[in-house]
Amino acid sequence: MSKLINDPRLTAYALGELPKTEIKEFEMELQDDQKAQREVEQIKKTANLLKGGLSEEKSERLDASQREEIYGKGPKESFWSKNWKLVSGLSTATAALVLVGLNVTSILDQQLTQKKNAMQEVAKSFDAKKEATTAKAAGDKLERVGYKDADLNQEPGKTVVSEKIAASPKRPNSFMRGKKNKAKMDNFSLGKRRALKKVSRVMEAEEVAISNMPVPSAAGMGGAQGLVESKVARSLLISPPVEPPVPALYDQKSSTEQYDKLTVNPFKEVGNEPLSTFSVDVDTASYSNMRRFLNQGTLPPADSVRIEELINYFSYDYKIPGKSEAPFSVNLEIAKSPWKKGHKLVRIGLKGFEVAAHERPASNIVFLLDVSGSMSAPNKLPLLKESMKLLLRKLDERDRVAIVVYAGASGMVLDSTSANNKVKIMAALNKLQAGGSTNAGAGIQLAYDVAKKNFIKGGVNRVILATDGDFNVGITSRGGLLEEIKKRAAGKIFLTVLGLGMGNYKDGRMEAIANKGNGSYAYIDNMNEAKKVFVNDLSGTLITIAKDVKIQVEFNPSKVSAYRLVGYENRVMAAQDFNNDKKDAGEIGAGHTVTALYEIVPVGVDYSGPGIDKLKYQKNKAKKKVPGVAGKYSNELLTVKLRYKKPEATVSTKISVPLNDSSVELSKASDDFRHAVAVASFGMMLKRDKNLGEFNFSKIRGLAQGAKGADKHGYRQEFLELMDLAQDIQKNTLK
Amino acid sequence: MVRRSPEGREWFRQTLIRLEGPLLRYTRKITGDLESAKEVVQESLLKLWKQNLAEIRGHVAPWLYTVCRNQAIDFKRRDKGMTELDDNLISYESYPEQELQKKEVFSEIAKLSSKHQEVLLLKFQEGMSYKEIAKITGHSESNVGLLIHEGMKVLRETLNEGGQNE
Repeated sequence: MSKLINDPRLTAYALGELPKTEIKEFEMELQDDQKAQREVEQIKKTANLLKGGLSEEKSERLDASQREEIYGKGPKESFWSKNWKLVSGLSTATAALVLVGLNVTSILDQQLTQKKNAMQEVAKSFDAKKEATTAKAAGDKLERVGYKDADLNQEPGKTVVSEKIAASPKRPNSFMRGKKNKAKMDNFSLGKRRALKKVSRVMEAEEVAISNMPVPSAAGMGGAQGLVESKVARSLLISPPVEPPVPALYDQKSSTEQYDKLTVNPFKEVGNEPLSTFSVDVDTASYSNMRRFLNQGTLPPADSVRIEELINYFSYDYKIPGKSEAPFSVNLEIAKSPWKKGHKLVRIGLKGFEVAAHERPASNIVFLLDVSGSMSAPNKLPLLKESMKLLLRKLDERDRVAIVVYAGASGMVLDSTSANNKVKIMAALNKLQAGGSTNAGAGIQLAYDVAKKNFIKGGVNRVILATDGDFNVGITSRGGLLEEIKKRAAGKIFLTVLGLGMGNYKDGRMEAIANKGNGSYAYIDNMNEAKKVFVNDLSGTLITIAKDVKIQVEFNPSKVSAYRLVGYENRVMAAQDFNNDKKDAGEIGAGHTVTALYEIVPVGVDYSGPGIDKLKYQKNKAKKKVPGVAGKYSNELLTVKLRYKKPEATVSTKISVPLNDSSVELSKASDDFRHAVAVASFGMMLKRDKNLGEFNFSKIRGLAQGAKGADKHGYRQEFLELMDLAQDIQKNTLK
Repeated sequence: MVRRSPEGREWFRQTLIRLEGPLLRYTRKITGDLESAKEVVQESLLKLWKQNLAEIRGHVAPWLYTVCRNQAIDFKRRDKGMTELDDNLISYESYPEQELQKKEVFSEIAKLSSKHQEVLLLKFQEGMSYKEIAKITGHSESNVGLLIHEGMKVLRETLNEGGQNE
């Protein structure tokens, strides 16, 4: 019987955890115990099995907003005063520079003796600048030199000290050395610096090799020692050898995500087309989908970016309509365009009336959940369940909830139940599991039937369809599915489509379904988004205050020579559809804002559209003035006309609002307007839209930064963060 | 000015990016759900801002695990009214990845006591040393060694049995 089998040292030995001093002795004991020797092999094997198996658990990430909060809150000044040497040493002093220091120390020392005066001066100013050094450090890294106090080649990762760490007051000698070296570097000739750079490249290669060596945890970092630092080494040195959780990059080639082709709206000549007509859109999915891509470290595909959905993701501080007025207010604003000199931008902003939580009408909600196999990923069904629990908390005894699922077969999980009975609903939710293929058609029929059976007159009647859009059984063609939805939606039951997940996400299909079903479409990428849709914007999500809302803009040809609708590409309608009540259009929910931008080319400004020759006669016509526009309308740039139906009406109402021309600088425009322009610009950048002209990233960011306003929910701050992320990704992609 | 120090932010960002995933993975097993774990990890990273780095130099990661662990336990005490946590610290309560549970490695580890589970996960999933695990969990180093030894003894029987059939 082996007595070592039950000795914890056996495991420690196999795992390399036995203290060095004990290894020899233990190996002696082990020599005579063959069974224990086999056990060592078994332990090693099991350890590898465990490491491999456990690594299959994927890492989650924090929400972008949480990260922003972490960046935003910290650090206090005291953090830097406590830590500036350390942190700057950790992050900037690249090994290359440190190593250059090693090799040139002797040269420096020679020169040193000759230039003491210079050195002392620099040393003085260095003292004075000490506090400021961190901020500047990144910029003038190349001017700096570290030094070594042990032989790097023999003891990798142990005792090389960068200048900034050397500057620690605890190490007076190092401090002096650092200053001297800096002084020397400042006096270096350009040629020598170039030579040094060459050396640094070679050394960098060595450094990579060094950092790839197994580094014992905390090696070289304990005590008062400094550390070698390079981009590669950093990950190994700061922490124990934790597998770095590199975010899974979205592989655009192998993914089956689908996006409909979107061609950017072109400029239209007012002479040819004085009317521009489109349907409103309160969808926001494109924004959260974009955020998901950026958080994964990829730029979103151009076709997935719908600028109107980016703009409408944010709420704007438009006038709240009075009780006796139309269900929404119309807010127009004009300013000079930042995209092209001479052009102007017009903003059309609608704001639906708000419904307070206690005034919210009773709701009859039918959840239609996709529980097919593709929904099992944590960012799909599990996220959906959590989202629904959020909504459930906001509902009360007035409301009813039913759950219908569809997969291979569709079925009712929970018949319409009073929202008072939360325990029952929660239990039904918790039981949901994903599995099987998707037959959406049958599920849709059942869900609408349940909604109809429990219809609440004057209340909210809504089917909430949650899916990744991967329908693969039953009525799978988009056309067939859309017909089904359209037929069902005719009966005053509204639809919310929630997009989830990724990989086989069918964006175009989801949006089309929402449009056909008198519905809205949101993409839920994380719990924050779920909170936005189900908590912050709950009444907007549930209560439709106007449907088939269409906008038609008539441009005054004596003022405008051409125009372009920014975004809304797949919402554009024919002019004659505006007055046709049979033509379906978008809905506005309680408290929703809808914003659209037009880029305008005023008369007299040179315009030649992409691919269009300059019109020969247009100018003359403008000079002559168009008959009927002179006189009282002469200062009007355009008129915005709106048509909408009340939620249960079949006949539309029309309102029209004119806008006078003016030449306000964009900087003088409202925060909301400038923010919308910044968001549109960012969207255009992601779509590589040439209309953006010279309005580059930093200008867009500046515009957004200045237009943050009160930003109650922090959405605009998150937008800034996302822009930075996009720029980082772009830079890295270009490299 | 110093506050906006780009390299300080960069260092912090790198730390955050590198460790948020593992920290969430670990913390979630204590809180039982991802959303609470996110809050705990967020709080812990905010604490790092306030920390004197010289004190934790060389073991930033174990330090963060320790903070997360303590906060997660606080959270569980507060929110779930649990007082006796030692026997029930690690839970796969609301683990959505059912497939993961089906995997032998996970299901076998889940059969062990909570204490054993934790040290094994810290060792083999989070890559911590005995010493670091002792710091994080508050067990003595030799106790960590014993727990891992015992856990490994069970696992190498159950796991290698399966392995031999393959």
